[in-house]
Formats: sequence, C-alpha cells, structure tokens
Amino acid sequence: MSTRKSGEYQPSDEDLIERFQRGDLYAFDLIVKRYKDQLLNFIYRFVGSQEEAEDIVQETFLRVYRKRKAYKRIAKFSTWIYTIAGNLARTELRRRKRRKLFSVTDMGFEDRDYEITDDALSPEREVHGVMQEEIIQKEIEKLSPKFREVIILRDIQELSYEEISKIIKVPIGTVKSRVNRARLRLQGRLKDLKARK
Amino acid sequence: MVHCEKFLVKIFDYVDNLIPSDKKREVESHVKECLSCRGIFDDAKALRQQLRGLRALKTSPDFETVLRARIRMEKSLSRRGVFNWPFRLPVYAVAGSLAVITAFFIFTNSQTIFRSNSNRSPFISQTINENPAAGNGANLGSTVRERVRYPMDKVPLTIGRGTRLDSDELRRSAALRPDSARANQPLPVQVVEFEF
Repeated sequence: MSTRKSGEYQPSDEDLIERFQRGDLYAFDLIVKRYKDQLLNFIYRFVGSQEEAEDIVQETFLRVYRKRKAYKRIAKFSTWIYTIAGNLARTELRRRKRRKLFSVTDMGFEDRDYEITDDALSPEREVHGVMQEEIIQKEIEKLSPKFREVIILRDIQELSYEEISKIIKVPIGTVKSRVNRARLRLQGRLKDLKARK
Repeated sequence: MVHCEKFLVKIFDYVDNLIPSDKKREVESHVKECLSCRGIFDDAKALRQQLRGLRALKTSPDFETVLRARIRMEKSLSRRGVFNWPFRLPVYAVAGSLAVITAFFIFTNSQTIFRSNSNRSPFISQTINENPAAGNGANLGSTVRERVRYPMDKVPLTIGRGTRLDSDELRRSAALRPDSARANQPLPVQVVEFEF
C-alpha cells in the first residue's frame, strides 16, 4: 500500500522493505530516512543518553540490513523495527545495570555516589523549556523498563495499543493497564515535584 | 471508591480518545461531581500534553554516512572471512571427520598393542650375556642379565627391579636356552630386569 503526500508518491514501509529484499539499496536509504529520528526519540527517552541512543539506532538499522530476509509481510514493518530497537535498548539497560552494580560494589562505602533528586532547581527555569523536559525525562527514567517502554510508545511515539502489544508481545489489556499505571506514577511524581517547589 | 476505579479506566480512555461520544458525556458528568477523579483527569490531560510536547530530537548530520561506512565494513569482512557462515559448514565437517578418523585409529592401535602384549610370554624373552667374548658353556659363573617382560598382572608382588633370583623357574628357563649344557651346572647369578 502506498500513499500520495503533497502530490509525491510515497511507497509504504512494506513496499520499501520488499524492494530492499530484492536488492534495491535505495529503498533501504529511504527506510533509514523515514525511521532514524522516530527511533532516536524512542531510544533516547528509554536510555536517557543521546549518544547511546544514536549508537542503538545505528545497530537497529544494521540488524535490519543483515536480517532483511527475516521480515515477512504478515507484520507491519514499523512493529518489526520497533521490536528490534526496543530489544536493543533493553539489552543496553541490562548491561548498564550490571556495570553499575559492579562499580558500586567495587567502591568503598564513602566513595559511593547515590542519585539524589535535585531539589534545588530554580522554579523560574523549571516551569517551561529545557529544564522541564529534563525533569520529565528523569522521571521517565525512574519508571521500571516495562512501564517506561509502554508510556514512551503510547504517549510520545503515539502508537496504537494494538501495535504496542505486538511490539512488546503482551496482550492489549496488559498494555493498557501498564500505560495507565505508568501515567499514574508519572503524574504522582510530577505533582510531588511541583508541590515541593 | 469502586465506582471511581471503574471511571479511572474510562478517564484514560477519554484522554486517549478511545471511547464513543455517549460514554464521553458520562465521564464528563462524573468528573464534574467527583473531585478526586477531576484531579486525575486534569493531571492525565496535562501529562499527555507535556509528553506530546517534548522536543523531538534529530540524529547527527553524519548519521547516514557512519551507517553506510559500517555496512560497507561489514560487507567487506563477510566477503573476506573464510569462517563466515556459508564456509563454516564444510570447515566444521572436515574437522569433525578428521577427529573421528584420528580417534578410530588411536582406539584400534591401542587394542593391537594390548593384544600383542597379552599374547607375549610372561617369562624370559631376551638374554644378554654380559661376557660376550666367552664361548658356549664358557660363561659359567659369569653374570647373565635376563631381560624379562611381564604383563602387569603377572608380576609377582614380592619381586622388585634388580632382585637376585635363585628360583626353580629360572632354572627351568635356563634349561630351555641353546646353551642348555649349563642346565645341570650350578646356577649363575641372575639379575632380572623387568620392563613394564
């Protein structure tokens, strides 16, 4: 299925990947152009570092390149690519957790650094703009990965519940409940922060 | 409270725009009445706005160049690599069959060695005269070194390497030798060595 946007022919993702499977490298370039920023935003909100997020997005496209034959048209291409990216992001989080565990246990008691919520942010700066975004990002990162992933996919990437359920391979009902719980937690935390200021 | 819990799901569905208009009116009227639900409703709407309003990041300008370079590198590596997937199978097959053949030969040879050792006479197999200059029967009283090969299980526990023997068994074996003239003579000093 293809679409026509502003008079220009827009092949669907599925058409592009099929063309790429037949050896059309230009189709792969178009896929990269279409998805690189979307995936960067998804991964960045997940891992919290733009540099790492960019590396993961690169790795995602490399996997698409390598495993292009594995894609079957029965699934939406976006579901497939988001699944790859999500898996890589989760692996990165696990690796980071292990690193953190080792580095904390290796240090003496006095050397240990614990993350303390920054309560001394200036209220003027935090209301709007970058600071507010940073606060939201930090609060998103404090959610557990399973809540974090669904709220990013639903409220930032604006994917449908059905698509999210296919990406993370859980039933729609579970996705909905996770999204709602994540929203309640995030709302509660942001409200607390506001109240403290 | 149960009433409100039921509405909680509806509130989020309302925010997601997933409920029909008649249900929407129901939520709106409940939110007007219930203070706690109104709080949740307002917060949910605000949060959704905040999340949707987050600045969209863009990849660095050299993103595609780096990606292409990585793909090119991978391609050249896979072309060069003898141990890459299409080549791996025959390499592993050859290595595996070589290992099986080697193991088979080691096994069959060890069987042969064991059998030939077990067939060998446990008694004297070689006699070394320490005085080769002496002729037949002239070596009486000289030291004869007997090299005896015993399989492990035939070795008498009481005999150690270099033990001097004066036994009937050695007398009998001496009688069998070509220089059997010695058989009736007093037994020469025998040094028996064992090879295991």
